[in-house]
Amino acid sequence: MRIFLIISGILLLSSCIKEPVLPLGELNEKPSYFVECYLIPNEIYKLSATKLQPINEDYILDYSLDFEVKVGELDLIQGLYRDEKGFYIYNYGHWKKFMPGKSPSVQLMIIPPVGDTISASTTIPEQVIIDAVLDKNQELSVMFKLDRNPQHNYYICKVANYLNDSVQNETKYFDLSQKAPNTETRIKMPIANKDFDSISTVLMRLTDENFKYQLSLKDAQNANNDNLVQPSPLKGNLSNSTGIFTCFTADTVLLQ
Amino acid sequence: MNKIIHILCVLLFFSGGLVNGQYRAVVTNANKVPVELVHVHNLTTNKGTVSKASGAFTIEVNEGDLLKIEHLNYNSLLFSYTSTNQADTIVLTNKDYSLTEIYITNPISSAYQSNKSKIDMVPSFLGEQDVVKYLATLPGVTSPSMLDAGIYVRGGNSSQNAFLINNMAVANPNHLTGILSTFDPYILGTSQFYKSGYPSAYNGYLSSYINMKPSVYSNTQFNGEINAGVLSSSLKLKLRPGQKNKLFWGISLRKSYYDIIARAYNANNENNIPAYNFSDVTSTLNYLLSDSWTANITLIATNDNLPLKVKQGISYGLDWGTFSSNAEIKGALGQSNTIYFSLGYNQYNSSFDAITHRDTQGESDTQQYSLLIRGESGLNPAMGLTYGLSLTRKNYQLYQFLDEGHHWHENMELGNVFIEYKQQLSNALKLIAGVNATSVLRSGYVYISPRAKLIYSKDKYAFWFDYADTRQFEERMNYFTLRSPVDLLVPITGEQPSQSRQVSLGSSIRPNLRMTINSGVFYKELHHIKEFIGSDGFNLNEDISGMVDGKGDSYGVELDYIYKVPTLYARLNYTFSEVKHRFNAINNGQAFYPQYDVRHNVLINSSIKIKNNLTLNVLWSYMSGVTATIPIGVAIAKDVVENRMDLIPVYGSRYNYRLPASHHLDMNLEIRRPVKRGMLKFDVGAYNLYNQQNPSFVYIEPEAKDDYFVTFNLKSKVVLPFMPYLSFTYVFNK
Repeated sequence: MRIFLIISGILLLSSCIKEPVLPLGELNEKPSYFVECYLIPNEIYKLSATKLQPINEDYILDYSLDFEVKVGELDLIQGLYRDEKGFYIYNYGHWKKFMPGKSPSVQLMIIPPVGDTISASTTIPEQVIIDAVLDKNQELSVMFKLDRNPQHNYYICKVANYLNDSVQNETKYFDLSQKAPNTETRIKMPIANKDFDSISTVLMRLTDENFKYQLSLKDAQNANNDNLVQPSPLKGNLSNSTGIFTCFTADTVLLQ
Repeated sequence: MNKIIHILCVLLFFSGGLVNGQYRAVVTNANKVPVELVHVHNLTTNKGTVSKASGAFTIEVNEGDLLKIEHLNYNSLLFSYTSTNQADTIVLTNKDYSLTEIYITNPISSAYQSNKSKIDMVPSFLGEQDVVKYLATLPGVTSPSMLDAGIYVRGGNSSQNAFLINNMAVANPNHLTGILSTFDPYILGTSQFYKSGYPSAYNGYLSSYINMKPSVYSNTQFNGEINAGVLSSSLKLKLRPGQKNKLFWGISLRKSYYDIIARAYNANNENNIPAYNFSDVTSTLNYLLSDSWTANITLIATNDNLPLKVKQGISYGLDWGTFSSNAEIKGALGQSNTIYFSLGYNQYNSSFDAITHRDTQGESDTQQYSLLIRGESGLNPAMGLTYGLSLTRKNYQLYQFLDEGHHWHENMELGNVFIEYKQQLSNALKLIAGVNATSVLRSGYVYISPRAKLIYSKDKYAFWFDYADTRQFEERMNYFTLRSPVDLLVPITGEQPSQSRQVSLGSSIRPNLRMTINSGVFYKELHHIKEFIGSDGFNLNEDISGMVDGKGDSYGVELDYIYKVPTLYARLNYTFSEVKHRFNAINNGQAFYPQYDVRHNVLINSSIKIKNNLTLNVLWSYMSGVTATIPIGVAIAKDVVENRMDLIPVYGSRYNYRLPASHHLDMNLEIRRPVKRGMLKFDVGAYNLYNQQNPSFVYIEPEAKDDYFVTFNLKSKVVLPFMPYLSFTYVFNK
């Protein structure tokens, strides 16, 4: 035991590492605009359009930039909009709710204060419906029917495990585009505790572009946290800007 | 009866004066390794012979005859034969006069050679010596990160080095990071390292070739070492059973127990340290089939396991292992021909189990089968020929489960023929010219790689020029940001192989026997080099198809000063180099400096013999900063799952930031004490003695300046600070 303590002492001594701050200096690349717009059926139009903040300048979240924003035929109005749940703030929106029509896609056009027009287009996935959630051997089986379009068979599943006023979340990303479309499938989600008061399962159906974008957001965060993930630019679908214009659908089931 | 006595007396009379006697001896180098193809010339009678694979030769001599011993790589010897006092072993010294360094100073081979005595002069982390760690101290060679077990030679990537044993490729046994040894010099006693002017026999890698040869000689019938270190222990044995010295067997076994310590530490700490463990075995068996034929079997097997818990919900289970074996039979055909038959098999397998926001498991496996037939002919003392052919088959496969199973596999067969001609044009001038032709058999394409070398060597000076064209038929795809043991090898089958064309000039000046000054300049043109557009470690099948083609170049200057007296070995070297790459698909086609572009590299290495039983080894290295990728901006993005705001770093071009320079001082003190039947060796030392905070990687951290403003700090993570170590070794022999 003494030898372990000595060795642990050496390791502890070794782990007394500072994390020095390095000079940022001048970066040759200037970041452009950052736009995010998630269209959700039956929710109002909301969009955030800001300037990407250069890393070597103080950060100011500037919602006052004047863009001309058009989604489909609708002109979005500048203001501050907030999700019903959560704290995300948008600076463009409209009181109208997004109702998917006959058109299979929606277009976005933004004229920024300076620079080229930003544009994008997205298709609209079908509403995802969870058919059943089964709890077996500390694992949840989530059953649902795949979209008819393989390009929409990308999913994010979040399981929140509630026990004694505490919650443990588990989120997984699934690419099911190779599976036969419009068929019943199941995905498995781990549960942190086998005992729970309730379990909430949220399933989101994404387009392929949105799925890649969500993964690239994760990768960017992880690349900054450790040395495991290779840093790479965000994968969006906007021309002349960074970000995403997309539509997703979601369904929630609560197990008591 | 009288008649018989008379005849005997006549015979004895003639044997003492008129009839030649025979001089039998063995030629070895300074490491006691037999040297073959040594020309032994009796200048008095103008007759000659050549040493066999065992180093043995027999030549007819008379008392007082003048004998000249010559070999391309060694200093010539001239002596007068005396039957009463003639040694049965002739030891040749390397042509640079010094036993410590051959490197550039040996213009004949343009090769760096290492042996255990040289490696011992570099401080050994955890008491473990290693061939690769020693190579990283040579001019033109860098090891930008101690987290990376690879070496980077003259601006080349670490995937561009060939590791060979007896000229046959082996799977590179990657123990984690550059701090743990991979090739044990106890068994792999001598190594030749080529960073330019490659022999024509070699092809398939762009930067360097490291040919390791197992030790097949022992002074004693039985000797060994038992080593106990802080994190690992080893047992090493060399056996020479029997009186005929025909059989030699060497084995080295190592096992780490860092995982036990890590688990004990992790039990009481929130911050987990990886419970890494490895074990390996290196063995060689040599058998003298006859005076002129030898058989050798060498194998290396390794096994590593690394559970890596990054943070809550993110963990990796990594396993990898190698098995390399080769069998060689070599022998003499006639007076001046040596032939080698070699068979090799090696395998590299790895598996990963990643628990993250996208769970994935996978296994990869690369197998290689090789056949090599090589001949060497000493046409006369001034002319030599090397020729041969090889066949290689490589199988690559990956099975990955990511949402569903994905299987990828490729095969590649390479055929290779080579010839090299050596000619001593005058007393001082030598020409070596050759060609290697390699074909990717299924495609039918043949790639011709010419090589040439011109050497002027006289008295204390040597100058040389060489040109080498070489190709590479596979590239490594990184699983993580840095090179790691679970990286994937991908064959280049549908496109042009990577190509390097290098010209190199060098000189060696030896003002006296204590001092050597070497210098060199090089320029390398790179065509069809490969990169991967991006890998996030998830869909590897998709990432493989992201291999892109580019070009680049590198150039540099190398200076090396060596001073050696019996009590002091000191060496100072400096390398300047620049490497630039350009890929249409990366950084919008703009040229960039890859993360192993090290402009200035300074190294000071000294070994001081304080007392007969006390040696201090010191190494200080300085490396100018390498490039890294940092975010160009930040964005507030919506986390659609958690319904909150996230600060997202936004990356632009790759390698857009240069880290500050790094340096560290390593030191170890070796104390030896004779004990019964052997010696006790005690090593105490430290890596990064003054705890320099060398950044291993960088990240952005927001900091609130006041209620309204946030500023971003570029912070660096230091992974390898001051680390002390000690080890005990019991060396025994019989």
